[in-house]
Amino acid sequence: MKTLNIIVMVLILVGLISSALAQNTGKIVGQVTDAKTGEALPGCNIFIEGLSLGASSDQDGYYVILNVPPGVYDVHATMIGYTEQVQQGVRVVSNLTTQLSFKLKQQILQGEKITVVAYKTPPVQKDLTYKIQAVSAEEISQIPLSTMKDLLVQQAGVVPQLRTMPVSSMPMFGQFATVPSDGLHFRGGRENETLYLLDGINVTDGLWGGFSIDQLGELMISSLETYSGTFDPRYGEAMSGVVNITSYDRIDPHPKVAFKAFSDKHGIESQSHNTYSWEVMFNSALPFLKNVGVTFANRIYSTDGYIYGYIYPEYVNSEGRDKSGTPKKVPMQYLDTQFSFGKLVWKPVASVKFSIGGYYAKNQKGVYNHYFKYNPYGTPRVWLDDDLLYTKLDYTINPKSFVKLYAAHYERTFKSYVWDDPAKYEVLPQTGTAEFSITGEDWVYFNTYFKRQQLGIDYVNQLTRIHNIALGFNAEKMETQLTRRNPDGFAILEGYKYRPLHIGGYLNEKMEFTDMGLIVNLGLRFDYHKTTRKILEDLAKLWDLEAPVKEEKPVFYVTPRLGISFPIAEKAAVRFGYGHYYQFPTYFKIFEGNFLDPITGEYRPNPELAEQQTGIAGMDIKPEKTVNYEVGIQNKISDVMALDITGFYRKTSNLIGTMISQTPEGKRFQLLQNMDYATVKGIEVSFKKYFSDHFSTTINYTYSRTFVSTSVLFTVPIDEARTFPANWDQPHVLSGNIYFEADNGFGFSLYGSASSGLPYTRSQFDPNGERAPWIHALDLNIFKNFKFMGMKEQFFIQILNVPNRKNVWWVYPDSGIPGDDANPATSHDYTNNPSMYGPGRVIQFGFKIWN
Amino acid sequence: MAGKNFLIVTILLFVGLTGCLPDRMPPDPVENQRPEFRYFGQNDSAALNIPLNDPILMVFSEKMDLSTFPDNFKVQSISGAITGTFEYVSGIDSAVHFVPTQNYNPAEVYTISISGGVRDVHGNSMIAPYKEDQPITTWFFTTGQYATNGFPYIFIRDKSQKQIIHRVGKINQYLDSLYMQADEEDYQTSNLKFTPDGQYLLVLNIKISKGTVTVIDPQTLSTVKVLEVGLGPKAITFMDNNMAIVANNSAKSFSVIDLSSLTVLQTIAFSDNYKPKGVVYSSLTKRLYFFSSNNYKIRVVNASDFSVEKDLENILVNKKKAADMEITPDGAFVYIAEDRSDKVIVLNTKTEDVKTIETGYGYNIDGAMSQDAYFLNFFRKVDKEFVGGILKIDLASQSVVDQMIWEKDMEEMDLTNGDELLYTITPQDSTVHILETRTLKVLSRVKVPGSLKYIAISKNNYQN
Repeated sequence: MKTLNIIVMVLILVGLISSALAQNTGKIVGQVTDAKTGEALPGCNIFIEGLSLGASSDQDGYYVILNVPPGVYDVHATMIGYTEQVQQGVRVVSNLTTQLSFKLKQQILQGEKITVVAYKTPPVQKDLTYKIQAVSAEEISQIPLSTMKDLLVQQAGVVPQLRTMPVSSMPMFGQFATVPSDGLHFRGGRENETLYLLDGINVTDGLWGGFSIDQLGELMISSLETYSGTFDPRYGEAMSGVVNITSYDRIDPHPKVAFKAFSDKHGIESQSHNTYSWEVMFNSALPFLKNVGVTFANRIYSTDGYIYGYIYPEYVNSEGRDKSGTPKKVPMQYLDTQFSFGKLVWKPVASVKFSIGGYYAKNQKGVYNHYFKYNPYGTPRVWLDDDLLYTKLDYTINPKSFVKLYAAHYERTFKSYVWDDPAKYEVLPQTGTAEFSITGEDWVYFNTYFKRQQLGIDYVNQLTRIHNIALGFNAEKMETQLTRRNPDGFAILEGYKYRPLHIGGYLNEKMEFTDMGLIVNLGLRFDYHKTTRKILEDLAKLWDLEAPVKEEKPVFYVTPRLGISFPIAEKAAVRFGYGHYYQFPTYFKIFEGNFLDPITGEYRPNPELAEQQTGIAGMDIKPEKTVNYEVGIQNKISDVMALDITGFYRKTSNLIGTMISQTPEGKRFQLLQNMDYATVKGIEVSFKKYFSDHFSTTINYTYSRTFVSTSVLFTVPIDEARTFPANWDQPHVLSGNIYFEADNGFGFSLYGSASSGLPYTRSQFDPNGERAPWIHALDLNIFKNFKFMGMKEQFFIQILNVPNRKNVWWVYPDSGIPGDDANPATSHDYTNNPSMYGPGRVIQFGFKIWN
Repeated sequence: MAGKNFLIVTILLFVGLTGCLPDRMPPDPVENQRPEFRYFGQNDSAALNIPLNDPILMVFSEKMDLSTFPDNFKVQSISGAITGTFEYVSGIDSAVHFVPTQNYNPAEVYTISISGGVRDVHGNSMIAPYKEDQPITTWFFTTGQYATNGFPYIFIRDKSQKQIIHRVGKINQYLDSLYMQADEEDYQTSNLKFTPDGQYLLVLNIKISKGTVTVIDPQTLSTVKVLEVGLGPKAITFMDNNMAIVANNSAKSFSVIDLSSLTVLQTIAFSDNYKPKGVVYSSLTKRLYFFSSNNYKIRVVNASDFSVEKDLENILVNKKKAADMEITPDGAFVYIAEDRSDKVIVLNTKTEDVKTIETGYGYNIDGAMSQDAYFLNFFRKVDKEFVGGILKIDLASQSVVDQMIWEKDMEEMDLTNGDELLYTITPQDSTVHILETRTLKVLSRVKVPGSLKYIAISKNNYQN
């Protein structure tokens, strides 16, 4: 053991000079007492079923189990002379403390070996210093959803990005219409301001930002947590939120298996998107090997979406005039994903856990472009693949401290084009009427690659019952490759390969003054970025391809975080959070417009692009910054009901935006630079009733206002000195979910939401001064559970958009309505863009098997 | 338990084996299999003397949809479009006939146009919509007076091969070259002209010792008679009493020929050294109008007694001599083309008023007068390049109404009897060009050996 300790210390030192990651685990603490006398019971063994994780109570009967992966567990307490007790359904949330005390009965009767107690989640989490929304696997299974993105947007403060303008096929700007994004706004932030973690490993695309949340299956997830607001310094490079996904970590000889499939292929074309989904998860300890557990999950999901293109037999021959005959329907908003996940956990000894895991995911999707409605094969498709391989070593140094080492390799490729073969672009030229394309392809060609190799270490020490210190480092060596071509001639517009470096570290102390009921989270984070790009010594010499370049200086910043929770009574707790949140811009912005200079052989800005709409990246890019303030109160209404009210204010600066610059000779060009800013203020009200009396319910309401200097990256602000409502600003968002299950296995869940319509600009003097109609959702899931062959089975019918409401996502600024603009010269077919509306009613049938 | 394991394995296998993503890749782009136009029928592509009810044959690469032709097919002339019906040609799937429902107009150029919108029976148009539609066109020229009872002979006199006269047969085919009997070695031709009744071809000969007019039977191409006129005959005109007037340039005189008896009645000399080079007769004023090679005056001679009536000095006021002089069929106007100039002076024979037409081109070479137009050819050398052409001056409006420009110099021109065809000579390439007079479209060309200069077209048609 001494040798092992030395090894661990060496690894910590290596970590200090190299790298590490957020530890993303929670802890269980409590006291074990005699049920009759109330005396503390020292030496009691407490362990978590399926995790081979546990602790012994100290002299005062107290125990602490650190490094518990988030999820729901059964926790046992055993002691000689006492009846073993198991508390079922104990919920553990990352970075929070689960209070779990045992009152053991003396063993009197022979044969009474175990007592089972149902754990009741306390409505008020007293050590909460920022808003955490945790959803367990069981809760996920109770919500009507098609993909995990549906789940995220049901969280308070999270709204989906609804496209508020048509995809353009303009040569430059339109090329970026298909680039990847997480498509989510957390508390009014822009897209891609969120850190995505899978089993604690950063899976955020550093080149484009975001993560393909749609690809995740629900069965592999043990817990999904969303942090918005003043989250602690373990989490860097995110200004608006953190999504923490945790898979099962079990080593259990009883296999856990789950299978779920659903489809809407029922023959009613108007209420089907040709969707099907298969998902399987298997977890078990391996036979013949001691303490080795494996998890395997696979999911396939495919949908045609609700927007189609049409190929009429005579359309091309008639130069776009003849739309007679029966057209061939071509899905243009499809989404196909495949996600394969595997994980192996090995605990050779009680203090060491080794795990290796990863996934491989494929996505292909269509992005609707109304101009290509009658030439649907001419619009680009998107292929987005990513894979992760990671390994972790958890070493429990002693019951009060542990260290976690990890290494990971993450890759993501993004391709978007119509053809990869230049010869195919030559077959049919771009032709079209003023309204629709006839032949040819859109001006899009992207082929990008992102790789992140990371190495990290976390160290946690529960110094005393009050003080818990966590520190960690991580280093990320990345590779960003991008090729953007003009399909017309296949010339490279942008092309580069950089290897940026990021080193991050944090120090956090959590103080739990249980006597006073005060919780303080105090932290500091530092980040170091080296882009490895070369920038022009003098930007005015942009057009001189032999102009000298120099290395860009690295960026270093330190950010403080503070969170305080103070129970004001047994039933309530007030919290306050404050923090600085930096996020280095995604690398496509930092390297925008660069290409391989044929003269010098070095990467540098392409002057041809500088004059066009996407511009070039500026020099000395700084991190984007948000200062978050959060005040919240949790209030226990009953043993199963709680109300959480959170007020927040966010001030964001140094957002990358587009500005016009010019050389001394007066030559103008567009530059991406830190220039935009935004403010968000709002209040979130969350009501939750935990499952009891056959039902549970959740209601979230958010009022927030987001004001920005510009909403779109590649748009030059009209007036940089003013702000206006962001394109995604929705002041009112109300959503609720009710789950009911009867004793006979019948049940339903109902999800509904109502949110303000998205803003639009009728007059340039009043940007986004008008608002589209409200958006409503009502989804229903009806199920019947039964048992067969020792397994649990469920049949379900899921009806999305029950009232078949035609939600309006965007309108024409001049007419204020969807479908028709104010220009009499345009046809209704042209103005009636189906992407202005949300999907109609869809009915899905499915079944699920699990144990 | 075994059942449960079996179920688990079955599910895993089922998912593993059946789970795959759909293939969303579209089919490779292919250009449509479009029909191709192959050719027109022999009669319908740059053909002359086409019957007035001739169907138009079009051959494609595949069977066509006839219903698409009315909107995409057109046959039209300067007079307008012709309607008709479309039908498949028996036994040939890919051939289409246009059958006119009305006759074409005689002696007109008809242009055929097929645009890319015609489709095959599978619905594919002939041209991709993204390509500029350049219709397939051709033309034909319908039959007219020029072909009534056969075709005229076209006689071309060589400039250097003094004894040779060439013939063009069937209006556009080189026929033969005939040796002319000459009685002097320095025999030279200065003009060719048919008598108004077409009975004789008169050849004006410049000889060292005397001037003569050879009278030739155009049908047999035999010399009927040789008449002696004054020295250096350059021009001939015909009066309405079957008399011909020859302007003798060197002799400074003019001769009067009786075409009935083929005798020279008299030769009248000018007393003032006036060297006549051209002459026309006005049936309206009964006057002869001469222009001179050594004088800027237009001389008016009374045709009844051949007395010099006056000299008009207000016509060639630009100090340019005349290159050509023609008179309108009604005798009301004399068109005088200035030499080395782009001006045409129109003399009103009644009022003796003068109008000048500036063509913008130059220099004037030769003219030919039809019933309604004066055709004038010109050329000019600009930086070693010829700019030549033919202008059509409308007699009613006395203005240029059409033109044909090319890089050729020209010599003389003549018209068919019905004014349908204009023949002109370009000596540099020894070619006779046949133009349609209504549009000045070049219908055909004929290569004739030698260095060509003079041309005359028989009034009567002799060839079958």
